[in-house]
Amino acid sequence: MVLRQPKLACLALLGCWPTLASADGFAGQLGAIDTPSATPWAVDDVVMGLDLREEVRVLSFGFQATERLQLDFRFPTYDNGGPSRGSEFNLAFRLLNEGAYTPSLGFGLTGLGGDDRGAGEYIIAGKRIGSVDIAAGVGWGRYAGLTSGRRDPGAAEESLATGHLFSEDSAAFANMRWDTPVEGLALLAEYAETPLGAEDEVIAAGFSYQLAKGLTMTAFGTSDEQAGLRFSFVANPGDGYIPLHLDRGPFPYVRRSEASVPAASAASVLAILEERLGDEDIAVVRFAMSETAVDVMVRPPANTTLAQAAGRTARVLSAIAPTDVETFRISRPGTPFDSQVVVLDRAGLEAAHGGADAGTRAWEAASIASAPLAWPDSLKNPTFTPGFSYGFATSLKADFLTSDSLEPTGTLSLNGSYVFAKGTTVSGSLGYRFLNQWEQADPPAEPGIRSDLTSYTPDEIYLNALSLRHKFRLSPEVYSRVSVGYFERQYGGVSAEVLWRAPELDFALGFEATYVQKRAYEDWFGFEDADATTVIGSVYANIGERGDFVELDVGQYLAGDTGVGLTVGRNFPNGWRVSANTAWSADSDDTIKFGAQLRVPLGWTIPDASDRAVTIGIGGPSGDFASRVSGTGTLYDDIRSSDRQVIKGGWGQFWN
Amino acid sequence: MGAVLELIRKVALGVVLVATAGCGSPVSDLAQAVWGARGGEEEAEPAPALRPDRAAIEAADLAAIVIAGEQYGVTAIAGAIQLREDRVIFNSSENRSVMLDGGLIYTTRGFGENLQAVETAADDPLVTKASPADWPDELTRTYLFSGYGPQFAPLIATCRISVGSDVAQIDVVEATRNAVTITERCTAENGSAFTNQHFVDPADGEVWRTLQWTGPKQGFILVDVIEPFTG
Repeated sequence: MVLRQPKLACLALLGCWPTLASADGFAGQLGAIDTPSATPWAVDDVVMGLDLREEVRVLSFGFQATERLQLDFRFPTYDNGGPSRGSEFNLAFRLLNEGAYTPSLGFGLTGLGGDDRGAGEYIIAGKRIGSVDIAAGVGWGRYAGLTSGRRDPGAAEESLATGHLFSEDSAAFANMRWDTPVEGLALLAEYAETPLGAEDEVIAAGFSYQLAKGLTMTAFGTSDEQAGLRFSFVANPGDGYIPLHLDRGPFPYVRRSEASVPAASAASVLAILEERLGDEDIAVVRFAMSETAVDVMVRPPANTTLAQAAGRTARVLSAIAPTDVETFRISRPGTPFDSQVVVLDRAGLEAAHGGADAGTRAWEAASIASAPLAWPDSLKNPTFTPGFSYGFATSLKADFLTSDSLEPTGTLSLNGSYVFAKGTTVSGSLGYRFLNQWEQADPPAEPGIRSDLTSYTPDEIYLNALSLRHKFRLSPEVYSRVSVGYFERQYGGVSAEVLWRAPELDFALGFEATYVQKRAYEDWFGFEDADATTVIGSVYANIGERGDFVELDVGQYLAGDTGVGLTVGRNFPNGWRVSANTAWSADSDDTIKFGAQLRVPLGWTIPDASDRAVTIGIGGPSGDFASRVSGTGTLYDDIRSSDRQVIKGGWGQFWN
Repeated sequence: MGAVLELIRKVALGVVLVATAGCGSPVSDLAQAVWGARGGEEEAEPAPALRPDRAAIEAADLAAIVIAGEQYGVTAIAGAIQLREDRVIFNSSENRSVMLDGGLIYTTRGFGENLQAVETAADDPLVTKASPADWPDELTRTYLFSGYGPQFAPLIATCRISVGSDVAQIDVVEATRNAVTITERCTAENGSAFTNQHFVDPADGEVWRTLQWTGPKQGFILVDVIEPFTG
């Protein structure tokens, strides 16, 4: 049995999100009821939807990537006509924007990667008149009632085929949405020639109502006696719940021509720096001053970008550093690795401050450098104290798609770690599935790769992981790790990784080799007679100018298969991350599956929150192929926050 | 350079004045009066009361203003501390600040999601003093906000201007000023709309009180000029 993956957790958090837009339409696409709309969401809007109907349930995850491009992953379950294929990918693209008198024009593709039940294509025009959005278009595939026969159901090689697009019969559709004067209430109506196999045209009507911030419910009925409910959650990373920059303002930036700074000693500069940054809850943990440069490592409050921390530190230094100091070097501490160093040219900042292009010019005055392999002894040095930490975590998940009962599953974990040295940690995790445990299956004759998870003991506390990690740098630009222990419920062994990142480049290269043995089904520490070796090379690249990234993994996976993993997404300066992933294996006949992930920092919704975040995942590759060991402690997550492009992305906060 | 040094000298005194200012003066009443004049808008949460010490400020020959942020109810008394080209930075004891380009709020810090800059024509009467009669019918400004990356995100707004016909006497922090009300009804390129109000001296174009939109989240900021910067 393969565990079903499409699940949605942490609804409580979603309920806290502010209202940014309404998101209606079938399975995440903004529109009326079944037909799409020409109206995009706001850029960077993240929309999760749950569509409940008599014969189909769809969980969806949408993202407005640009003003013109909307992406959407759907995870449908059909009650009739066979099981769901797991995941579908949709996109909508706006070719022409709406003018004062002209409509917008766009097209869309739905159901890519799935089968014909969800697949369709359309061309659409739309116009907003007053408080009414009107759209009309022509569609193929499911929009013309053709929900089978265009491709071979279930065939992997057909899942990404393109020959069927915009082929065979087409049908017209139209829809409208009226935002009524009643706050939060919109009325919906649509017409479709022959959608979803109907013999005659279908007229549908419904309403949507905003139940809470970010949460909208839509109810609808159609002339062919279909009815349904839809719930949508909308949030935008750029529109936080917590107001920014209210505590106090930053210290004024002082040009050297404006103040006569005496040749102060390093100790006196440090004392004033600590006092003033202390007013802003920024701690100085390392400080050194030479005749021409000041090196400062600061620990800012949670959810502060390195760019903003550098800006606030530079503001204070501008007023107190001796005139001959030309360079400010600012970094932040980290475990196990300190951040890269933001190097600021003082003259450049003086020229930049106060101008309409102050952000751009400050970035031009900055460069990024690797932290030295060993920091020289300084006037103030960070101290390290070994420490033990622990915590409980509860995970509640509900399978909205494949379970008729919608019974949630609950897991309680006790996690603990002891940090011996800055890069050396032993950590462990005990788990107990307290709600809706599985029925234990007999162990297979030959241990499986992933599909034998239910053979593990279900009804007692289990050792999820217990491992030792040592992370260190081989050179300023080469990071490395060795790990040994029980990495996850199913595998334990040894793992090693190296990762190279040059400070001025926008990509990093990684290589991980892992040897593992299958863990015993019945006890905590034993092993089954099965082992595996994975050898995976990775490229981590920041692309474009909006925080977009690509991660590509290629190599030998657990089943001995050659596979490729691909993750694409967007990092936001405030810690949000939106991503999608998929995987391919040379040995697998399964259709390609997609997954989507969302990382939301708690500081976005809760004042004075820590740097912690909630991660929500939907779908994704599963099964025995293109699968790697988890829990080894891969390196890139430790260093990505000070990638050059990530620092640059947050540079809008430099002067704030 | 001499003017700059004099400015810096005044800053130290200004900080003392602000730090010693007591409580009880109805700055919030002032803000409410102006905001109320716009009509129909939600009342702001009352701001903490501050008492600018006008006598001390005048005795020190210090340029100073009262700043009140409508959206979050943050108020501050700020003294002029720096010149950036022809713009003056007014800073409070908590480093809440605005940079004024003439009467135009050019940047804000510490009142919410900061305004980074405003680009406008050199002859914008809010920047270069002009008699109310000489204000144009329309002008365009570009508001700049921090977004993704180093470059500030622009928002262009076009404002239609109407100049009041009456000269009224208004109380600006315990001083009576003659002022004509000038209203700017602005529409931004993203479809949002806002209305600025300025109270301008008919004699020399001095802006004694101004209520300006400074961003989609931060909203309006009110500035009352206690003593203008005169160089």
